[in-house]
Amino acid sequence: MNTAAIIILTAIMTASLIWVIPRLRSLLPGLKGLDPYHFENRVELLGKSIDGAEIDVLAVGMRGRITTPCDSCDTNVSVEIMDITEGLLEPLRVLCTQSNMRRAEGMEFFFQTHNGIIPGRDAILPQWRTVLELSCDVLRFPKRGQRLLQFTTRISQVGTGRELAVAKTTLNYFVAAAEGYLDFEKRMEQILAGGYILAHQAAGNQPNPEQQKLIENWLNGCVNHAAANLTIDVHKVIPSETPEQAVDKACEILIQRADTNYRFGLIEVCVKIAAAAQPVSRPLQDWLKNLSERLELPADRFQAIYQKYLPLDAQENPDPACVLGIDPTLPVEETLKRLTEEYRKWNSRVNHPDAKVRQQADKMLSYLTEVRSCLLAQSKA
Amino acid sequence: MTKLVGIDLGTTFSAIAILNSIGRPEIIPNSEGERITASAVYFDEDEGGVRVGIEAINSRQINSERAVRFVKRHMGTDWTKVIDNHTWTPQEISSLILKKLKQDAEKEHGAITDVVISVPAHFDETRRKATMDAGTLAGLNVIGIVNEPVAAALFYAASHDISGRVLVYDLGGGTFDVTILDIKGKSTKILCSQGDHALGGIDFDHKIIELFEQEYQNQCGARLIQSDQDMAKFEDEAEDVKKTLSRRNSAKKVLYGASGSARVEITREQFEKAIESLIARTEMLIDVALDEAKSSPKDINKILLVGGSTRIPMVQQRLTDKFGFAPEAAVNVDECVALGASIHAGLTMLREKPESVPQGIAGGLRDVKLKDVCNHSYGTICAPLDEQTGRHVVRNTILLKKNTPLPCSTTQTFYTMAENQTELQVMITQGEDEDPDFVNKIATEIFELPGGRPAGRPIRVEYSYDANQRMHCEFEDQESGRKLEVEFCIGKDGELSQSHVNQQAETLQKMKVQ
Ligand SMILES: Nc1ncnc2c1ncn2[C@@H]1O[C@H](COP(=O)(O)OP(=O)(O)OP(=O)(O)O)[C@@H](O)[C@H]1O
Ligand SMILES: [Mg+2]
Repeated sequence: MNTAAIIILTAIMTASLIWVIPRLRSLLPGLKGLDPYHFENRVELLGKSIDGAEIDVLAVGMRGRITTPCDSCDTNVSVEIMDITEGLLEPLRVLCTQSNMRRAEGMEFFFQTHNGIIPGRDAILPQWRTVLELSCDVLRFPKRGQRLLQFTTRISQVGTGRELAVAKTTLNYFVAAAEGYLDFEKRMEQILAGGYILAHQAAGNQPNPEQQKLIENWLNGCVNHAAANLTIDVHKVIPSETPEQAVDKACEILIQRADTNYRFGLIEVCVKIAAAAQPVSRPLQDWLKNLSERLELPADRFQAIYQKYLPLDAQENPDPACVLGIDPTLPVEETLKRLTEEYRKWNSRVNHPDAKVRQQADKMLSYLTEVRSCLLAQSKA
Repeated sequence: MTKLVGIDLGTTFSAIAILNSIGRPEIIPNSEGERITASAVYFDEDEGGVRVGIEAINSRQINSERAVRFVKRHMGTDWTKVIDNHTWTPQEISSLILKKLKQDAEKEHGAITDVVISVPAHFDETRRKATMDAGTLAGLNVIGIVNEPVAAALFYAASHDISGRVLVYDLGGGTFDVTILDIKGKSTKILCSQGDHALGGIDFDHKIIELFEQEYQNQCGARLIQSDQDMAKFEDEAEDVKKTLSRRNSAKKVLYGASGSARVEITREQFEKAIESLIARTEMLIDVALDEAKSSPKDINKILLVGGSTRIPMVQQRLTDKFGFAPEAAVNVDECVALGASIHAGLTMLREKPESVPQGIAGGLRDVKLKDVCNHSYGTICAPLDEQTGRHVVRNTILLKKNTPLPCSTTQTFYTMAENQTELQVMITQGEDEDPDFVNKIATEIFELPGGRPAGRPIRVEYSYDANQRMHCEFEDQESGRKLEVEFCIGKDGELSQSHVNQQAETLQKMKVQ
C-alpha cells in the first residue's frame, strides 16, 4: 500500500506573476549578508491524516534572490537532508524507501525537480514557495529519538548543473519509528552473523559445496529483504573461543534480536543443510531439535519442517523424538494418540501426484508402525 | 429392460453382479463357471488375442513378459506396459478385464451397459476417474462409482436384519480399507473411511517369497529368483503356501531353482512374524478411523470382514483381541462388494432416472437407504496471516472437510491481496494438509476481476458436493457480481475426449478377449 505515501507540490512558475526584478540589487554588489532578499529555505512540520492515520509531513519552502548567468535561464531545484545530531563534521545520511527520491546509487534521500525559467539575471522570489511536501514515513533515519536534521535547498542551471543559489536550514525532529537504520544494520549484522554460525554448525563447520550454496542463498535472501548491502566479519560481531561458545552466543542473540520469521527461516535452512550431507548422524538430529528449542520455536512447527526436509532415509537410525516429537516421559496412551495423528497425516499424503512425496509418505508409515510396535512391546514388558 | 449391474474391479480378482427381478443382487459366473475372475491379462503371441482370468494366470508362467497382473495398483499413474509395440495404459488393461466380465455376463443376460464400479474408499479423484475411463473403454456406461466397503455394507444391511455401529475391515489382494458406519434396518450411514493403497494379499505373498529366498540361499547357496519369469512362478507358489497356512500350521514346498531344488517348510508362526509389520499397519489405520468416527473399540457392535485376505487366522485373531469379540463371517468375503455395487446401481438409477427402473426392482430396494460422506477434504490455496510470524503465508485452506455427509455445501469469504488486482489464480485442492506442497491441486483457473479497486475485495467461495459425487465450485466477486464456476464430476470433467475414446475403443474392439 503506497497510497498517498508522498505528496509533491512543485510549481513551474510563471515569470510575470512571481519574479520581481529590483533596482536595489545593483547598488549593493557582493554584500549577501546584508541583502534583505538573500536566498533562504525553511521546513515546516505538518501533521496530516492519511487513510485515518496521523502522519508527519515536512513542507520545504524557499524564497529570495537567485542570480543567473543569463536572461531566461532554465533551472532545477533540489532538496537534500542530513542528520547532523552528532555534529556537522559527522553528518549521517537520511535514507528513503522511494526510488524516485534517491540518488542514482544508494538509498540516500535526494529530491530534484524542474524549477522553471527565471526571467531576469537578478530575480527575487518574494514569497515562500513550497518546493516539496514529504511524508516522513518514506524516510529512514540513522537512529530513533530526537534528531537534528539539516535541509539544503539548491537552485541549479539546467544543462550545466551550475549552482545558482543554495540555502540551509535545520529542524529538530523526533524519530518515533521502530528503529533507526544504524541500529537496524547493527542488529542485522548480529542476527546474520548468528545465523551464519548456526548454519555452519549444521554443516559440521565443514560445508560441502551444496551446503555452502544453501548458506549463501539463504544469507543473500535475508540481505535482499533488508535492502542493504552488508559485509560482515562474523568473528568480530560475535567473538568466541570455541564453536560451542559461538553457538551459545548466536542463540542468545537470535532470541533477543531476531523475529520469529527469521528464526523459522533459520531452522528450515539448518535442516536443509543437514539433509545435504547424508546420512545425518544421530547427534546432528538431536542438535537440530535442541536448536529449535533454544530458538524458542513451537515444537509442531519444527516437526513439520523436520519431516518435510529431512527424509527418513537420509537419517542414521532416525530418532522418534526428533521425527515425531515423542517425549519418552509421556504416558503410552498419549504417545499412541500422537502416532495415530501422524499416521492419519501421512496416510493422506500417499496419494500425492509427486512420486517423491509418495515414497516419503510410505517410508513414514512404515516408520510409524515400527515405532508403535516397539512402544507396545516395551509397555508390555 | 434396464439391467442394473455392479462390478468389483479388484487387484487380484474381479466379480460382476446383477439385480434380479425383485431387486436382489446375484453374482454372474464367467464362461469358465467361476463366480470371481482373476484380474490377470495375457496377450497372446500369435492371434493378437487377449486372455483374461484363469487362462491368463496359467499362461503367464510361459511368458511373463506378455502378462499383466495387479494393474489396479497402477491406476491413475503414468505406468505403462509395451506389448508388440503398443503402449498400454492401466485404464486400457483394466478395460480388458471389464470387457471379459461384460462379455461373459451378456451371454446369459443380453446387452449390459449401465454399471456401477467399486473402488477402494481411499482412491483419489484421479484413480476414480481412471476407473471410469476403463469402463467407458470397455463399452460400459458408468453411472456411478462406489467405495468397496460401502458396497459391502450396503449388501450386508440389505440382506441382514441388524442395527448398530459396524466396522468394515476390507483386506483384499492389493488394498486395505477400513470404514465405520451405522446401520439401522436397511439404512446405512457412513461415518468415515481410511485406506492403505499398498497393503494386501500380494504383499503377504512377497513376505513368503522372502522366506523362500532365505531358505533357498541356506540350502543351495544361490538366489532363487533371477528373472521376471521366476517371480511369476514363485508368486503363485507363495500364494499357495499362504492359503495353506490359513488352514494348517505349516506348508511344505519343493522349490525348483536354477541351482537345484530345495525342500522348504514354512510354519504359520514364521509367516505371522513376517507379516507382523503389515498387520500393524492395518491396526494403525483402525485407530485412525476410530479417531475420526470419535469412537473407541467398545462403541463398535460388529466387524464385517471383506476381501480374501481376511481368511488369514492372524487377521481375525488380532481383531478379536482388539475388540473383544470375533468378527462377522456372515457374508461371502469375495462376492459382497460386487453384490453391493449392483444395489448401488439400483439406488443411483432410482435417483437419476426412476422411470427406467423396473417395478419389481424398485420395490425390492424400497427401504434401502444410503447416506455417504465426502471421501477427501477439498480446499483452496490462499495467503492468510500467520499468527506466529505476523506475515502472510501461502496455505491450503480446507472448505469441504473429509467425512462430511453428502450432499453438502460450504461457503467462505476470501479477500484480494493487491491494489488493482485484475486476476485471481483460483486453485482447487484435495488433501488434508495445510502445507500446499502436500496437497493435490486438482484444478487451477484464472478468475478475471474488474480493475482499479483497492486490495481487500471480498470473494465468496462456495464448494458443494452432491450424492452423485459431483463437486461444484463457485467463486463470486461480491462487488461486481462476477462469477467463476468449476464443475467436477469424476468421469465427466476432463473425461477422455470422445474421439480419443472412440479411437481407443476401436483398437480394443479388434482384440478378442477370452
Ligand atoms: N484362504 C486364504 N488365505 C489367505 N489369503 C487368501 C485366501 N484366499 C484368498 N486370499 C487372498 O485374498 C486376495 C484376494 O482377495 P480379494 O479378491 O478380496 O482381493 P481383490 O478384490 O482382488 O483386491 P482389492 O480389493 O485389494 O483390489 C489374494 O491376495 C488372495 O491370495
Ligand atoms: Mg476387493
